[in-house]
Amino acid sequence: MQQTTSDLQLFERLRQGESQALDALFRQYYADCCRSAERILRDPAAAEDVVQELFLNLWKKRNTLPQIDEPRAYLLRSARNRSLNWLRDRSKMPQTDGELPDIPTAANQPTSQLELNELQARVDAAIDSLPERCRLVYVLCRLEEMPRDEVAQKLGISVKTVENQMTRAYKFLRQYLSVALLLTPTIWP
Amino acid sequence: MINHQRADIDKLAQHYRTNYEPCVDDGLTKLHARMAHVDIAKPKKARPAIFQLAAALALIVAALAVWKFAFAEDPNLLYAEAETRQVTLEDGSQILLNHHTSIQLDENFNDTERRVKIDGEAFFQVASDPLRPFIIDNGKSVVRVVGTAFNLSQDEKGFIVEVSEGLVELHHGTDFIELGPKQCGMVQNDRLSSMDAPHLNRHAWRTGQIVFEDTAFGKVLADLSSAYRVKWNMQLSPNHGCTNLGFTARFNDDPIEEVIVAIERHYGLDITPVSGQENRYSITGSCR
Repeated sequence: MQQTTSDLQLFERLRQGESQALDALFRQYYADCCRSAERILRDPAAAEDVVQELFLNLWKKRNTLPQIDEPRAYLLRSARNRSLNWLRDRSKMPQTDGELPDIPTAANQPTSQLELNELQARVDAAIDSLPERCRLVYVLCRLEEMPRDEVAQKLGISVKTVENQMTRAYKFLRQYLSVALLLTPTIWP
Repeated sequence: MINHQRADIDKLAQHYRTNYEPCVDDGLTKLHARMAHVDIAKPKKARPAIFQLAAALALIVAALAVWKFAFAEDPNLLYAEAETRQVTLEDGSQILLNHHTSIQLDENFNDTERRVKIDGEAFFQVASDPLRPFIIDNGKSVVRVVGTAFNLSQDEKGFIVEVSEGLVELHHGTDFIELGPKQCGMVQNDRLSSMDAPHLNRHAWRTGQIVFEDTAFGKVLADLSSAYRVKWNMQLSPNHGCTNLGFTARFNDDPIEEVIVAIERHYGLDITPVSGQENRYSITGSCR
């Protein structure tokens, strides 16, 4: 999504205590923030709570907010960090690499016509099958575009482990999604 | 792995969990409710227009006869024994305590907030004061209001709040729900839930009015239990078939005995007092 001057203006107005500016930012970015948080937490209610806290905090701290150049990136980063803190505070951060499961045969049942929602379900199932640490590493690095050293620090692992988990994730996903990958170009341009 | 394979996987993965659609309007409503408290807690900061709204929504307390009340040794402890008791607090709020209920006011009550603890059941008419939220706290769950009227009962299982006017927030842990007029919220077994309460039957101990409209058997018993403070010994036959059988009636200050006769007739059950135990009835038979 394109950064707009109006976002910056909204942040500026928020700093001046205008609650309508907060509403406008909320309307624009609440859904995106929730989706990011939900990818990490896999719990819509928890994700929404985290993002509520994030916006409530913007309001509480409006007088002392730093200068923000990219409101969208700032909000998404906050949503991610708050989600990871949520896991940490509830001792839900994975402590081991975990085992990769066997790939269910149904996952690779070749279907001549894979519907869009079926494909979507396969993608969800594939990524959700990854052991939690591996899943978080992949989601954070690839989908949330978080730098690897930051991922390592947040998950309390080394950058080397992050690399290893990425390799592991790709290998598993390639197998799990082999049929989907074959059909992708015809469904998702 | 070849790079373009990774890129293809990443492309697929972009659709991970995108079925989830958060509701922005609900979220914004929730945020506004929470923002109100932020500012209430810090009265020195500039307050947005939402406060005037909250104040406008707040209830003008009905003029009710104020009973002269002799405080016990602890001036912050309010209680009712065998009879219900009406109390007016220093902030103008009025509380009608159901019998065998005690309410402990916080020692700094009406300072920056109005915090109380309750054991039992009471009807609250909270005087509007946006700067000092009225908070009922049982340690785990919290009810927060600015000015409104509601019935609240608290037992070992948790809170039950039924709102007659205004808005009430029921918090439990990090979760909360907002209740409007004719809604009932509860915390039972660590879970927050809410339901519609079109007839405000939980206020019946005070109003004498109890209305059932095709109400399910279990709900009928629960409402009567709360209104008349009676308990039920359920000794129904297996496959009694009562569960989904609705009951429609309107009672107005009727003695429990009459209500029980009406229920016996409608459901074809036997309901008899348990000897030696006050306010306890045993229910036997089957609805078939």
